Amino acid sequence: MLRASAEAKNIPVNINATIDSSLDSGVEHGDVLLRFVDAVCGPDNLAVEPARTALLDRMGPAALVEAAAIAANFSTNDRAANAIGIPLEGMFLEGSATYRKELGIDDYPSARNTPDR
Amino acid sequence: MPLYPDFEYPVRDVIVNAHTAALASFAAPGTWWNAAQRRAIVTEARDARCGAGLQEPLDSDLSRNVTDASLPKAAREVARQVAISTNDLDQSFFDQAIADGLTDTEYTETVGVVARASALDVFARGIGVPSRALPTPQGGEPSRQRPASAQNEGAWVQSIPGGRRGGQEAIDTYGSDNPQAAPFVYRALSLVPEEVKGQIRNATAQYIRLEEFMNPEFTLDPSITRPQVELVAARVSVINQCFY
Repeated sequence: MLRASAEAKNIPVNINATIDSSLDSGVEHGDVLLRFVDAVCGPDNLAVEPARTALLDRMGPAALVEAAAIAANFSTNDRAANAIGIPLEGMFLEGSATYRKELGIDDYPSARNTPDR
Repeated sequence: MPLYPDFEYPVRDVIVNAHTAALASFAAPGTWWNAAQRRAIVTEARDARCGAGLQEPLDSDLSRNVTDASLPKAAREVARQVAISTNDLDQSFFDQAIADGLTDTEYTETVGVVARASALDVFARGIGVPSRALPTPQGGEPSRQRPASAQNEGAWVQSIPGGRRGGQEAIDTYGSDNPQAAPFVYRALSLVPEEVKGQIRNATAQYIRLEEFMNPEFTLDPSITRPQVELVAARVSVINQCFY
């Protein structure tokens, strides 16, 4: 949905930034959002507070809550998907083959749960 | 009492309510684990996440004290691994847990509890407050009800199909008889329906209402745009190497 939602707003999104968070995503405030995710989901406790402050200063407290909530949500979904070994439905496979290959997503260990990819 | 009084800004009520319900569920009897065992699963997961640097060291009231719970070692090992990372898991991980004595339902409930608890701890870390304390465990026994409609749909464990194939259990679990209300990411934990209900409650509060998923303009709060929402979501899933 990143590409679809960006296209709906005529934003030239660079989805490679989801792989390399030092890249410009093209999304407004994408730099502080990616820094925040990397800190909150990463192993460096010292990185969290400055990343939170940067997001708070740039986008405000409500956006900080939303970003934390979305990171939380996908922390659940990704763990459930990977630890239960679910395959990706065909309807989602069809439109994602090109960017999955480009981004290396087909090489994830969890890709093996979708033998028809 | 508000759940996040130590955060100086407002948290939407629906998030507070969902997280409060989740915390209560961790200290209540589940479907296959009792309250003390479910609480021990969360404590084990938190201990592992702290050890891996994924969250700040816990206050003394949250620190590890699980020796009095009858949680099998195999469940503890699943809890610790799922809490830290599921990036490299393959079916041998599940097979080993079964070989070590867990049932498929116990495995699924353990994964569900850890996945939901990790979310609450990520949220707390994100807004800069300590992980929330767990309630005192309730008495009572697990319900031990395996869904009759569960079947092999291609995952390591059985799941309740969406739509008519899932019958009343699908409606009770996913809140609808529409197959589109039950993407596989919601069916994943459906061998233990209560875990799915908690997952959906949290998702509806934290991310999106499923019926609005394909609306590229929709967000739960105007402070963030949908592309920003999806950028956060995508980056988390890349970190977690989630093909789904």
